[in-house]
Amino acid sequence: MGGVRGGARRVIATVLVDTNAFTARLRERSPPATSYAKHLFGQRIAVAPQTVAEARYGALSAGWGTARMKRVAVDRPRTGAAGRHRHDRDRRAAAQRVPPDRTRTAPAQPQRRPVDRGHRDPLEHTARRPRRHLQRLPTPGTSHRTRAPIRAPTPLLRSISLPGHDSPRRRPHPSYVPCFREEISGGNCSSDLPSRARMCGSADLSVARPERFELPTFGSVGRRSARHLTCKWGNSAAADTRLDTHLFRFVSKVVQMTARRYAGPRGFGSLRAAPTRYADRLVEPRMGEGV
Amino acid sequence: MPEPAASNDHIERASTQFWNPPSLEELMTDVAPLTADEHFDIPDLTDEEWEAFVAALDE
Repeated sequence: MGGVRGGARRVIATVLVDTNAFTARLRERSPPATSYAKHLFGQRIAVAPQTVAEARYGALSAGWGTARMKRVAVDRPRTGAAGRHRHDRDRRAAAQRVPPDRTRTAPAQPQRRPVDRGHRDPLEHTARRPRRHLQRLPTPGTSHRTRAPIRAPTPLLRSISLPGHDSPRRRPHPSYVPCFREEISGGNCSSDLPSRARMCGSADLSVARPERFELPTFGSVGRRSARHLTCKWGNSAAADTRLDTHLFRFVSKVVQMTARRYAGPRGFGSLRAAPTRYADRLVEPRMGEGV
Repeated sequence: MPEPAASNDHIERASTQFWNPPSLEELMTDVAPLTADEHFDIPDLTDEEWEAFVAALDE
């Protein structure tokens, strides 16, 4: 792990885990889970919002959670330990007041704007409102086709605040561009890593590919998957809560990787940011390596 | 033109948070390291469910 390990003076680093490395912890007898364990224990774990979306997509596609609703409901209060978003408690309380059948079947409806009592987005009706051509762009968390807001399915995703917005209810900035993944090359590769895994020592290139995405918040989810998510999130409470129970216990923090667009030596663009701003290293299997 | 916000501080805070995102250390200040005795295995997960999950990730 490069310079992280120093015997008794072990330095705690932040490790950004890829989707496969992250979900391997849900099946701890799987080979990747064993391989990555020694590189994760003792470190602070972080994931990108895209990883959360991919993990949820996998769970929904696999049909998880249909038989565990009651048990998950019992476990759910434990998830609050990692959901440190300050609005989580209010959202959880509000969700408990809604009848379960309504949460599953009610379609997304445009909501009436409440009377301004000073608690809404202060930029919403001001001169800083985005220009008209920017308003046509899909907003993160909004269905590209229907323009209907995607209901945040779980506290974990709801706890991901967008840059400049401390509440997901607020509209994200129009110039918000997702950063998909930090690519790595060389660096401090540890000799005791699995042979097919790489670790990030010096991230030199990270490319945002917004043209792929209709839902910028969920950058690595493809077009078809995004529609799939849009359709299924409305009635997938069981799978959501089941996965969240584990995600919350595992992930202590969802790193904001979306505030800047990286441009490496071979990349382009005007916005640059130091990769170390977001994570010390990245744990990621090679392309094509299964969990 | 007056801003329809509770106070100017609300506007400045939103602008500042966007253009000056917190550093990694600030983000991870309250995060505890993962300990070896923490387990996240889903106990009753069948092999079929797991394979379907992995297949969806590889889509």
